[in-house]
Amino acid sequence: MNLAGYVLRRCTISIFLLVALTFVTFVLYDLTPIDPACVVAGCDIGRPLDPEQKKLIYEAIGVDQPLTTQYVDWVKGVARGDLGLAWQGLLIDPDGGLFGTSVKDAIIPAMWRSLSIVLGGLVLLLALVIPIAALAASRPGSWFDRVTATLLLIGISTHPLVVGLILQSVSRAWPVVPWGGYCSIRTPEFDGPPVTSGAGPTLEPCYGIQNWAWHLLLPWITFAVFFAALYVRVLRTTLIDVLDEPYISVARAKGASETRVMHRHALRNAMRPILTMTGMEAGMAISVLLYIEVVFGIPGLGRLSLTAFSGEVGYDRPMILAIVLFIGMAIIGLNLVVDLLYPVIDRRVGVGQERKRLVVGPAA
Amino acid sequence: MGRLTRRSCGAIVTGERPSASRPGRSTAKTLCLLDFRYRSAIAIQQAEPAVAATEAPPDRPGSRLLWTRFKRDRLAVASGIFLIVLIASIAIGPPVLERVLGHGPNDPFPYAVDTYLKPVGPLSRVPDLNTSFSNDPFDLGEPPPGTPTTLFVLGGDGPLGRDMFQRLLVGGRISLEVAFGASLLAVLIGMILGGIAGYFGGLLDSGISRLTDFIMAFPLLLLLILLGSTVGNQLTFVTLGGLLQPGVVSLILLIGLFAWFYPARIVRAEVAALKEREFVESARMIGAGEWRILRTHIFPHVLPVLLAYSSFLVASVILMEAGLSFLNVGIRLPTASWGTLLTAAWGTYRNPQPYNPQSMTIWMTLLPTLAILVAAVGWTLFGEGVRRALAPRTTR
Repeated sequence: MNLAGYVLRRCTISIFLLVALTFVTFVLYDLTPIDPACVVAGCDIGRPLDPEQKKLIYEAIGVDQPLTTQYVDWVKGVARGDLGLAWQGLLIDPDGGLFGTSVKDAIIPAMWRSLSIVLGGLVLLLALVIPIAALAASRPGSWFDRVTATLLLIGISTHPLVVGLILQSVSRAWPVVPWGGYCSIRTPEFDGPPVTSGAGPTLEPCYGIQNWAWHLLLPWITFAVFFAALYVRVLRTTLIDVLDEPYISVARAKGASETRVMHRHALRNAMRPILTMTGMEAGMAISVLLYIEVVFGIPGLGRLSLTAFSGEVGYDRPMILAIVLFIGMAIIGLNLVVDLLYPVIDRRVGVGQERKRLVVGPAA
Repeated sequence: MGRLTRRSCGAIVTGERPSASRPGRSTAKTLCLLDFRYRSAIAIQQAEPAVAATEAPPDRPGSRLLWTRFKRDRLAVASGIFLIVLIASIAIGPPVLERVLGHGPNDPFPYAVDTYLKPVGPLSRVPDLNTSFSNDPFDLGEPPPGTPTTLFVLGGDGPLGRDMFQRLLVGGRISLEVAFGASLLAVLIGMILGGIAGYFGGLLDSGISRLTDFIMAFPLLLLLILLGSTVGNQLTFVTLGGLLQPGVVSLILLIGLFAWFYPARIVRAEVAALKEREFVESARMIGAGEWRILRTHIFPHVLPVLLAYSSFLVASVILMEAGLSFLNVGIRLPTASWGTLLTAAWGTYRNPQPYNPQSMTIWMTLLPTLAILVAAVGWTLFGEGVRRALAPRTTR
């Protein structure tokens, strides 16, 4: 199958999936007993909104329309790149004009912050996993292998919350590394005001790549440590299998050094399950992100979704839909990238071939 | 005689070196039936798609062999003993400690915190007084001379000055109740649905499998948060007649209803492999019904695998409870659980406490965190021990 056709077909399927996902969210939201007028104007228990006012709000945000019309309007907006205004804190002019926070302006900076945690964490993860797994697999049963096996069992039963809180409380007691907050890479004017949160120590504006990396060090370590145990375990088992293969003997017989055998022949072929896991763990990564962002006070996608989904500021439909859309796109996009990477690391696999699914470890 | 796996069996059939065979990629599924009584290997080669060959080998050791292997594994036995100690100390610890130390887990001690509300550290003695002798809220005043003191084994838990050790034990009870309840619910649902999917196959199987695939790819935590903050609120005060603390039932239901996918997959794979075995065929031949075959012939083989998995599940539910309570959708304050104990140091998500080095100690975060970690590691090691006893060769 040719590459362009495959990508096109996958993208078409993805669009249908996203439509289904957001429509289900729409219907579920409609089924929950939430009054949109209360999200906009706030309802106190003793002081219900007056029906006149309610009607005005319904008309302004369009919830008096039938559900399908509302959905089609939302999809049209998304197609134009407009995710709408958040219901929370929306101001309505007497002549029907709307003023409020744009969902897009809230979600896109949050997404970049989350992405910088995930990407940095992923780099650190690979830097941690590959040497450890290679060393353990090259001598199965050695003391290094046994020590890592025990450490892995402990690592598998940790939680991002546990790792994050231990790291944070240690760095609070001995302040070497900042224990929270986020500094943007770019200059503050571009990325909104400098972000400080309830838990972060960065009270003065901070930006620049150095500050950014320094403040994200602990979140990256937390992310990497949580996934490292699972990945080392899988990579080690695969490597032991691969090192048994005849082509490894051939490489050794040709006189290739052990380093070359490991790098050129074994690791390359053992990366496939790791890639599969990366695709499957996308949903898990969102949960991990949520805990990391809460512990380290980083206002990213995880915290945004926590506030939206726990009804912190009212169940804000445009925000919930935008988050569902972004997370869905992230998961689908990641899986597409993973599928496209298979032929790159393993020449025997063609584009779009069915990959082997595997289930590893407990569900955290 | 070594245990034959599908891999080494394939080597016998094809006459290859065991390491040279590639079970996942061969187009011919090699099914190896081993009859231990006659010590003869009968290999049957069937033309089957490659996918089927990657399923777990269905030969599992019997319960006696399992126990012998488990006993030999020092790490597994140690974790088993640790779990017994953990459960025993959580069950009988609080009343015993209350009698020995003379104070309960919910008694506040104003003298256990200093003027900045910083709780005392581990192993300190605190004046046994529930009131202060001063009208000034910022100064407690000296306790009268000769006041008896009481021991705080792990120090105080926060601004209220309660005993951290006792609260850890009481909180552990809630955490373990949630973990056992949710795991039991998940394993039950998973066993029934996975068993049906694996045994009957066909449309039911593909329906259940697609459903689990779909839901496993979705970030479940968000759904749990949504449900926990809407439906969970209404279930919070269901306590089964005071048997359980508020919030426990709602968390058991929430976690249990979303954790059955993994056990369902495992049971499905096991049952699908087992139903092809000759003893099932023999049972069917002498006229046993489907239900009887499932119950008396297949289920006992699945049980040890489920035991290993349930132990992993308990570990992950302990972690999940802590996470959800930390995010304020699980157990609510003032009930102590390992998750809510963390919030004493950190504040809840809705009401975060800015870090104040004068009023916080590292113990407030470290001790509940370590309790969660140690309990989860104990359950994981136990599950790993059972797994190793089930299939000693796979761990290498």
